[in-house]
Amino acid sequence: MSNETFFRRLDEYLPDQAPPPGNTGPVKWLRENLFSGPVNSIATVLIVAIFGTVIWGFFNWFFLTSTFHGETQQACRMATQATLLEERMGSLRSEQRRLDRISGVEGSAFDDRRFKAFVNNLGNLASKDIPKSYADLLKNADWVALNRAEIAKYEAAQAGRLEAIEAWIEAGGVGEAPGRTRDPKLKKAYDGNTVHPDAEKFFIDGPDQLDWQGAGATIASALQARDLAKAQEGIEALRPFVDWGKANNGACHTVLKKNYWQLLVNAYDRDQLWRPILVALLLIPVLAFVMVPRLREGSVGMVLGISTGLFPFVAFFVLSGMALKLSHFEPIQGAYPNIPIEELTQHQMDDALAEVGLRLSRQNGQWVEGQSLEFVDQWSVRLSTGEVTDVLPAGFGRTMYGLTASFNSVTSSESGRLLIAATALVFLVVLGLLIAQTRFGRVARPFLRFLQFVAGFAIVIAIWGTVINNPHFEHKRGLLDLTADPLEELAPEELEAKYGAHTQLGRLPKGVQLTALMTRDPNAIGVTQADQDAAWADIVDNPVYDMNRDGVVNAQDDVNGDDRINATDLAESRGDHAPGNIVFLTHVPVENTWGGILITMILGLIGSAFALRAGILLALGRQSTLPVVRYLSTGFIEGMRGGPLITILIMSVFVLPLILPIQFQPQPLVATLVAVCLFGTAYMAEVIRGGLQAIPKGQYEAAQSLGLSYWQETNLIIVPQATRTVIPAIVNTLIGLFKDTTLVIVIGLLDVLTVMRNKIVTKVEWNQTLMEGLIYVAIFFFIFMFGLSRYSMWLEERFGILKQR
Amino acid sequence: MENIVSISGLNKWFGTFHVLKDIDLAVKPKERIVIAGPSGSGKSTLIRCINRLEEHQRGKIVVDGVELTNNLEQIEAIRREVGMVFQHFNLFPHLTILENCILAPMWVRKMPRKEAVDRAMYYLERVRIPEQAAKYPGQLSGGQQQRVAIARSLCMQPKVMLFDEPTSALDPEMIKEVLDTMIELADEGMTMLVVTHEMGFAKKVADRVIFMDQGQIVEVAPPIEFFERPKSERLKEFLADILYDKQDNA
Repeated sequence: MSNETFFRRLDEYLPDQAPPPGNTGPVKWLRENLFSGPVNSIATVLIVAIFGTVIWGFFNWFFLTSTFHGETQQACRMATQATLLEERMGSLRSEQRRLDRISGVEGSAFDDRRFKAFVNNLGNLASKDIPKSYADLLKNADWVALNRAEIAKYEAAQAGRLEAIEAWIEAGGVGEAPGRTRDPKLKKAYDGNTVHPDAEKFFIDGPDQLDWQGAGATIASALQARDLAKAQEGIEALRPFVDWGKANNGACHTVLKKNYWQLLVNAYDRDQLWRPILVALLLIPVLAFVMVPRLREGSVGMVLGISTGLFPFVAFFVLSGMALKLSHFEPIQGAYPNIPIEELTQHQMDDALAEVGLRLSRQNGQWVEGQSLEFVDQWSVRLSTGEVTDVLPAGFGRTMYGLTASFNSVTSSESGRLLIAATALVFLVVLGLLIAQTRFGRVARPFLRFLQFVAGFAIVIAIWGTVINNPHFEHKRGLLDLTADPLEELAPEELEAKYGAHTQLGRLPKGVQLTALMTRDPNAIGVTQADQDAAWADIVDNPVYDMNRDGVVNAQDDVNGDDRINATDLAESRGDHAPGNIVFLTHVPVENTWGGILITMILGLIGSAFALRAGILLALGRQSTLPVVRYLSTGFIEGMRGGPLITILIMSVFVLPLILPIQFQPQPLVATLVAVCLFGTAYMAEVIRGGLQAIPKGQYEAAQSLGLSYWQETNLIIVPQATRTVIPAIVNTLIGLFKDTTLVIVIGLLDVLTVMRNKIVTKVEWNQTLMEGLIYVAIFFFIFMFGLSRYSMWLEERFGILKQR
Repeated sequence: MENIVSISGLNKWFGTFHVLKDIDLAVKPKERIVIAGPSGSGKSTLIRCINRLEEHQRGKIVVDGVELTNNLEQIEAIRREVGMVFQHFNLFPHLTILENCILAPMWVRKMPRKEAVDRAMYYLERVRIPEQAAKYPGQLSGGQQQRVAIARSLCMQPKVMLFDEPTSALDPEMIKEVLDTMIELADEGMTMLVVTHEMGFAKKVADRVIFMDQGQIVEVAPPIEFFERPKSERLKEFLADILYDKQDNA
């Protein structure tokens, strides 16, 4: 080593140089990530291969060969069977070859089972399900929203084209061929309802006179005779159809297209569809508040914040219209004020108590609760005197009875209702001002927000009940009822132009009939009063009118209990004076009535919102220095986590009503909601506790040394840090909770999965599409869950500054 | 002049371990006191007792005329008047520098936001980092963070400042900037109790230096006496230990 290298003096710093090639950009990325070594390279290739195969298979099935435009189940089934035709034929041929090889004889007998399946397929193919032409397909399809006349016109135009083409060919094919009809209106109507282009080509342009029955018979007899070559000829006769089917043998994307509404909300009464639509509209400010930080400031932020806090309750109330029900005896008396209770019929009693979810039956002249036999004695109710108040227990129940009674007297008058609405609005505004602006609000904000969360429920009930369901504002419901049939607004001549001169009620299209029955002025829509009366008489004598649209005419449809199902029932069931509706908004029972994505969202979102807030309190409780609080919190968490959600759901819906006093019977949806909320809370509490433990002692000390009180310290310093530390775990829990809501099937609520499985794909016309249905549900969940996890990643990035402690 | 902090007969135990034994100490307004001693001697515990981060079991602590008892209101009243700076800064990492500074004035003193911001900016300028106000603590160097911590305490306009080894967690390059800030503060007449190993700072600033060992106050003297003419053997040993490689710094 020379002195020059040992002693060195730097006179000039070297300039920065560019990195060697291959050390930047995509090349670098590939080299470092995918091909960094032999093992990694092999793994990369393998993964790409496996992934590619699976994805490609799925992609092909789901998109490329799917009967994407097959608007009907028929098209889908035809495609499937056409493919089977080819496949079975192929397998029969190879089977034949195998047998021939073994026996050494050509044309040996083959497996009967396969043979039968094949012939069965052909039988199906030739059966009456299979339309003979595109026109036939259109006629059979219940989805055809096209005006028949328009279809006829279109078909005529098509026929004209064929004639023109024939003429053109005869004339030697000189010049341009006559094109398809260019009528834009017809084209639009046609495009919206077309089957797959290939099918169209086959059915319209192809041999319309394809001999299905004949070909089927040929194949069948050829197979009977073990003549595969002849059978193949029969298949060749059906070649265009088989080719079309093979090209379109994938997913049937018809399920969602036709059933999206049911998937969303299941079977809401058509008149009640304004509810989910309104809720969706109300969701807009909530999303704005959550997504756009700028909107969280100032008075706009205040208003949006309040809407966000109130949203779960508004949504819940609007959707289910749950009535305030504090006493079971109130509705009995309210519904039948002039009949002594022991003289009520069973119908009347059921009717009066339907809202409460309680069923009394008569035993030995007394009304007893009849739902759970084991508990009859315990909960039997003596109603021997006509005086309702006599059977109310003293104390809370009686007080509440008095309160609801006086409340009713206020709400029964127009001015009273308006007064309540005005008071509620003022209260809301004052509350908001308090929370947002004042010093008191600043100190107490976290607690008030929680209170506000709860108080919103009561306020919403008052406002909704007062404005929306008030007969005085009846016309406003029409505005909200976006799906209402606008028939009543049409002039008679317009009606006639649209629907033809139908004056007989029975001949009106299905949707019109309901309106015609319900309208107060039948003459306005070209139906005579006599027609209407006759239609009603028909219904009364033969009660097919199904009040709940659940396909079953039952005692509940006889709302007013006169053993006839008629207009009065209908009016009462949807009216504002339905018995038991103390607070105006008609109750829509959730079981079997509505559900779908709506139920999933309600349970998931409200459950998450509640779990997050209550989980924080519970986690703090578990860390509390007060033994009582600590043990109660710990006990609750361990108890709730100890059982599976399914048992807790069952307990809350079926067992809780047996334990609770008669005044507090929860509705199934409420019970479910509470169960989901509490279950989520227990898990969330443990997650938050993990976050609390990650906070250094110094943070507590710093907060204390500045003079912050315990709650200030908790709200301003500890909880924000604790939650941010455990964002991934929180999101994990929320995702789990959201997906767990599919378990509500066990208590009869129809969430999105159940609607798909039990309602949509069990219909005869959709019964081969379970796979597609499940995929759609999976996609629905994936979109939500993936969105949630992206959101959490964004949050983590935003709060990533925390990590640089 | 009346004492702003007076401690008499203070005893504290951690479990069965007797940490502080019969401490008596009186601090006058504007007095600067440096507390030194080997680790485990109870220095930190003593000043943490003054704003009740540690509970004492016997004796009496009176701060600004208010006695420290279990009464939560009295504790909070004292904490409002006593600022504290920690070894590990303990800034709130989820808040910006400015938010760190205005938090306590707004919530504890109920000061309007605008006023709190003005005051925070004033003190941030005093510690010479106003340009960092919008950043988060994690983006600042250790020295800057400690200066923010000092500003955060000052925003409450405390009557007494406690420093618990404010420079121990800092890189040597950053110690000076913090010490300079503390010296400025001392020159303005703030009452300070400082636990530190920076003997240079003690010599320059302190009115009195306290030497603690095994939970007791062994010696109290003005800095010149303390460093030039230590009386107790234990202090002599201690000074010999720490001054071995720190002579140049002084």
